[in-house]
Amino acid sequence: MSRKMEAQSSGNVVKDEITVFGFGKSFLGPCLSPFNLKLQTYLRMTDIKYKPWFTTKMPSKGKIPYIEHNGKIVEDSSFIIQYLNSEYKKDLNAHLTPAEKAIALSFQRLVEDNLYWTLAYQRWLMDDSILDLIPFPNRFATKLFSWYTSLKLRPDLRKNMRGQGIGRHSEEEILKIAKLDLGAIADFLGEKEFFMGSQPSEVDAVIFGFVGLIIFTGSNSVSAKDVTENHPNLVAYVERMKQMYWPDWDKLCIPEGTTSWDEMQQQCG
Amino acid sequence: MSEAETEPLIAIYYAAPTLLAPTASPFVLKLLTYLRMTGLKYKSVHTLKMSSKGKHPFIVYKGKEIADSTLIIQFLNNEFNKDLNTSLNAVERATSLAFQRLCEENLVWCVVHDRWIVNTDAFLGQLEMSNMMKKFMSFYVSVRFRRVQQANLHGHGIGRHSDEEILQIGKRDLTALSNFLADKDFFMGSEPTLLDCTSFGLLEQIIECLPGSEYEQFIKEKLPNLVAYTERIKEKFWSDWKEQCAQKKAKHVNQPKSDKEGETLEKVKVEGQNGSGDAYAKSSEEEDATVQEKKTTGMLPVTDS
Repeated sequence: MSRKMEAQSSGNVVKDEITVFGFGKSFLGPCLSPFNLKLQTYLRMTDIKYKPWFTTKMPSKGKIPYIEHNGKIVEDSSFIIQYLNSEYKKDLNAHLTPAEKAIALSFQRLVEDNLYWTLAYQRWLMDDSILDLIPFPNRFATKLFSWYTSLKLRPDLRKNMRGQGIGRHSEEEILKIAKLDLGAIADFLGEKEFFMGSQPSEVDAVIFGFVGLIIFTGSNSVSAKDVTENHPNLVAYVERMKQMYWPDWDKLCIPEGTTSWDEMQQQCG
Repeated sequence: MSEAETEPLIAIYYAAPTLLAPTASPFVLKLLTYLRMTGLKYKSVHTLKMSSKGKHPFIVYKGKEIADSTLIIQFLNNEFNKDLNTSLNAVERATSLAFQRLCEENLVWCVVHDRWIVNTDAFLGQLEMSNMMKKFMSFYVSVRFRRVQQANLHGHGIGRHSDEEILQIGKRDLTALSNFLADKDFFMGSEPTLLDCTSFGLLEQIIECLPGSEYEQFIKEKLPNLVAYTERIKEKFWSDWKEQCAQKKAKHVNQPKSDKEGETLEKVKVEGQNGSGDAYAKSSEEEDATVQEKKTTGMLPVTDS
């Protein structure tokens, strides 16, 4: 049974404008969700104009990000990319052979269906450092969110991880899995400019979305330290992607010290 | 005595075979294929008991339980100095791991969805059990087991999509496997590697154990190289495939009444596996054991919720 969707409207629906709904910016980056960063990176790689918008209302699949385009809501970053490829006649993978597309997809699965959980574990279940990333309007809001995290967000994540399977492992095993996956990404990348070679492709948005997010906004995590210490080629790669597609990264971060709700909202879009 | 004969046996714990395969689980089939590829001796123990992580397979070796097929393989590699990936370079190992993730962290969930949400009757038909047990299983699946799997699918994320979207995702993954395999003998080249254990374990379940599913149709029509691949693996490592499947048990047709006290079933006319009229005698203990076995084997693993 499908739930009636209550996605927050961005207000004026401008023809052909794409609104990307997410959880907003942080002190260290333009978004909090790796899937959101993946999608926005794809949009920048394909030169498709968009407007990011902060929301707390979830769509029918219950996942962020989702987009609104000409009054139509599309959910799930991979389906959104397929939709936009079709609408705007884009294909970042056009230069790849079928075998290369297959390899690119396999690494997308490794990142989104495996590594993602190990990063979510580190971000939400190992300590409270995530709270330092988010610009709360006041101390009460911080406290409220902290309760929400303990009572709802963390138990939900544990339940999802258990359903997925990885949550049945110990912390040590989960961190080993992260190390293995990041090692594979670094080994495959080697000294190439982009993940699949000398031209960018869709999987670069994925790798940057997840690995970039943890390096730039989670540098104290076990995985970020692992990458920084053991995979300099991967660090150089995410820096390169940031320079190329996110030259305005620092301007998009919420300035340190911002606490007013209105100021924060103004930062969206 | 040779070293191989004195070597302690690895005991693999998993649910009973089905009529179509030695195991219903892609992860169990992965592990069994690994053991056959490495030549490690093992014995199968059919059980409903789950591992400490709530899944199958698990092994017991020197009294120690080890759960999770990947962790088991890592352990056995260390213990017995095996490495199916020894010929691969760093880039190839990375690629191999990525495809393993595609199979085990995404495509397998499409199979779970098809088996437990869409085409459950087709799966229950593969189990060797009486019609009454099948009715019980069908009931159990609909009130309990399906909900568990729906929660797992939802937790993973794929369960939030429609049936059509999940099918699209599954076909995309299968096409990727087919394109990567191309005309190679094995996934990473001319020799089998660890990825072949994973991919065979999963592809064989899709090709032979999801009868009537869209995935089965899709593979057979559009991705014939994957079908040929599974045949190649079976020929090389599973020449006893049919013997390892569950054998269809003889049905009792006529039960003669006995006047003698304590005497139970003797000669009955039964339907043999080939439909011929083979007759055999059973004592009451064997009968009880058969009934008990039917009640406990052929049932499917239950995951902890």
